[in-house]
Amino acid sequence: MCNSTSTRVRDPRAYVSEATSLSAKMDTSAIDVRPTAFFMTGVAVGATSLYLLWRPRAAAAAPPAADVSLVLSAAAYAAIAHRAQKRKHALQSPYIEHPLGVAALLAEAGFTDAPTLAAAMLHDTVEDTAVSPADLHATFGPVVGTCLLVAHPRCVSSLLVGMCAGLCPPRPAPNRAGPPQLVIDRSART
Amino acid sequence: MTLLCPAAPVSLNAPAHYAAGIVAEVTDDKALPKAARKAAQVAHAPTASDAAKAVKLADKLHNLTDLCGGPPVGWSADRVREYFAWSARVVDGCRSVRGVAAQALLSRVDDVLARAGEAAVVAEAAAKAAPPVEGGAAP
Repeated sequence: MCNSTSTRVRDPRAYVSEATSLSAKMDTSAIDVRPTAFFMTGVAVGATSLYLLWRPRAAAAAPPAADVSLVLSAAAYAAIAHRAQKRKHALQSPYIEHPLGVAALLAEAGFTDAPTLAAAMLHDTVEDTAVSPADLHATFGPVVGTCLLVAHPRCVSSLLVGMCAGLCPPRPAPNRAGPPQLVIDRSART
Repeated sequence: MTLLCPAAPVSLNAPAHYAAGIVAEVTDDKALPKAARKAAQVAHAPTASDAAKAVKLADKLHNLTDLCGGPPVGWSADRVREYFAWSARVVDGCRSVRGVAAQALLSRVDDVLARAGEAAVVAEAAAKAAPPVEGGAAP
């Protein structure tokens, strides 16, 4: 019944010892690891550069502090621009009541986009005051372009540092990659 | 470097996602006579960006709500009615605005537009107290 040679189950340990002796005999110097190494390095460098290039942009997208700063700067700018004007009601209330009211109505309706709320604050400055479209662009112009220009040299240097030292540079402070400083134009005081 | 970091094109009138661009969209051309300026605003409204439409709607909502409380000095009841009618045309041009918040705003504007008669009555009462002046100021 128990015929030994053909039906006997082989001891699994035999496979292990066989494989071990095979790998010991194998000449690994014949295998060229360079293509694999190049490929893996390429993947690592590519992924690192993509990450480093994207990170400052993501940080600059819309940090809440910059949103608050933009909306308040717009309010302050509008208050200065409209300082000499009154609402045309019997009460003669300060004109800034209207831009502030418009922005508040947008916020109450559920608008959270800072440029839209800032635009509501500023919507009558060009029409009713000495502020020109160019003045407004200088202070409340495109943010994205400026951010990229500011972020770019850092992208390159972070990339080089990361590639050379194999280290990830510390995350830049969000404010430094944020929108440009909003400077209130004092000429609008008149 | 230029390829990686193109400076954003600065066009003073481009519909945009930054404050100054939106303001440029909602600013009337003061060189035009008043009637043409008002007509231009009606014509321009449908072509404005969503953000500009929202600002226009909120602007009208604020002005119309104010008118319901009492007219600007020197406004006749007829002028109040005209302002409501013109605002309704601008609002109609903004109805294509997208977004939940914008639709909420739109329904508030519709509510106040329905109060045109009430505003005219208030203006009539005010006109009796102080007679209207031709060419009174805008609200």
